[in-house]
Amino acid sequence: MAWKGVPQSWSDIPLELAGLVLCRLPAHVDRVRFAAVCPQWRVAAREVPRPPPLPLLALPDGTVYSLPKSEPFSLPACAGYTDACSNWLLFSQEDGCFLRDPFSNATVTLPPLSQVRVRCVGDELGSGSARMETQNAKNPTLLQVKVCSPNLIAASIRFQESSQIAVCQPGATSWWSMMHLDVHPEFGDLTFHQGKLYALDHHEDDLFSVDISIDHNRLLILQRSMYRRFKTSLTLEVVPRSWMNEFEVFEGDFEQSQWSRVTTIGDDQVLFLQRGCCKVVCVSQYKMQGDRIFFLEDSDDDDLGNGGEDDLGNGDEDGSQYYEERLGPCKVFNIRDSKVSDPLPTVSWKRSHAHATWLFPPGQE
Amino acid sequence: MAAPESGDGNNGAARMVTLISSDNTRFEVEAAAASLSQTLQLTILDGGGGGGDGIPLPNVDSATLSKVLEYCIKHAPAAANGGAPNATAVDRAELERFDNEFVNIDQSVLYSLIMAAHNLEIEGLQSLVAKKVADMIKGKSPMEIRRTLGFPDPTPEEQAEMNAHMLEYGWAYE
Repeated sequence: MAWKGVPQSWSDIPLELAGLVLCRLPAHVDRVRFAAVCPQWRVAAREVPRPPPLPLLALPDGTVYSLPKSEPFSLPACAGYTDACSNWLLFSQEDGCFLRDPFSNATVTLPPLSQVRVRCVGDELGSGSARMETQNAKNPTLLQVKVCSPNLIAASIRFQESSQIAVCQPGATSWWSMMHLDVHPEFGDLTFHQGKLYALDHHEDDLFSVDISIDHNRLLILQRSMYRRFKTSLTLEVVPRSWMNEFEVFEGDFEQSQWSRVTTIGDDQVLFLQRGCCKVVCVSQYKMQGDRIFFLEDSDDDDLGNGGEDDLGNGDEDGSQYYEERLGPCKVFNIRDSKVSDPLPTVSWKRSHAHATWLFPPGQE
Repeated sequence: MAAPESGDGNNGAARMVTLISSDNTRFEVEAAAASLSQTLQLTILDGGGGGGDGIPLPNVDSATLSKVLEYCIKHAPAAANGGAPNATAVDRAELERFDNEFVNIDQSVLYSLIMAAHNLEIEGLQSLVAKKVADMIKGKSPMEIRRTLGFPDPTPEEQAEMNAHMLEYGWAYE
């Protein structure tokens, strides 16, 4: 058969066609390897706009899974993280915390938590006045970090009696925070949306905003309810039980100052959820079904049947049984029918998976 | 008020056009199928390709053109329905089955197909082949990708560039 005419080499395909192929590679690792194939493809990888890749699933021991369905590989620069924000992993050491991008190995040292300069405002000081203090709490802990821009990092920090939002610039020697002496919100989850930093008050479920800049498209909040379901046979033995996960998605309406429940996030949208923050990725090119929530089993070990008594007074032996029932480190919740499935069926649950995180490759914002 | 179609009388028979491949083979095909190509659609709307004229396609050989037309003929009814919003699940499943079979071919044929689809601006066929190629390279190393797609051995310069890239992104090659 004569396939003659144009010279046949995939290396010479027009940039546009190389881009069409690239757009259909959901895994960051495949895109990196694509760029190594030949100089022309490298140019395509640099220049062709494409949808963000899917995040990687990282485990604290440095094992990484590339969705969808991959063999694990090792990303040593991941090992030992305590939290993640986009492409940045947080590492906490005795002498302080730092962020590292495991793809480029870039690091950002954070100011010590003992150095938080607080601006106090409130009625008891008289209107319009404020005073500066240094937080003197013992053992402050970093709850969550958001890298808002190359010049701005925000964090929620737990002190003895309250948790506060603090911000710093990379390389700074101290955090800056503001405390309102008349209200005591319990700040936890942070997100950054259209140039503003938002924090949820865990006591009242109020959303607070802090004026800082940067861009994003829309803001979603998730209300997650998790409860145990027991099946009881006639002899009142407790037979296999499972954790039920249910999610409700709310979209923030800033004009009305209210959350409205949404029943779909879109046929081509997938939401990646971890520890109270989430990110939406468009999957229209990826042969994946949308309107799904990929979530992690991120509860603390203590809650997860490792020997403690459960509600029915059944003790230790349930723990192991419980672990066997669990799927892998992440699960998928279908918003349409509320069914839960396992996107990595070959990976079975291990205790260390409780600290798994999504790692978003850089350069997609 | 529509003017009668140029050429033969229109008694229900679909309008046909003739396409001529680079090696001078003539293909007679329904205008609706050929119109999946944005490029051809313009010519056909101008009344071209009918009668004895034929539309020459100097960049597409006969083997590739017959494959391209196989795709167009299969997809024309759905395309005529405006992306077939009313298509039954059975129809859609059948098209999907056809597509999967259709691209189950050697990489050199895929290459000719995507180049022809690009020249003729057949969007569906471009993405179908791109999807197939993406599936073929998923999970493979750069050298494996080169072998899969029949690249020649890398020149020393290309090899050096590949090595540099792999060093920079060492984590992707563990």
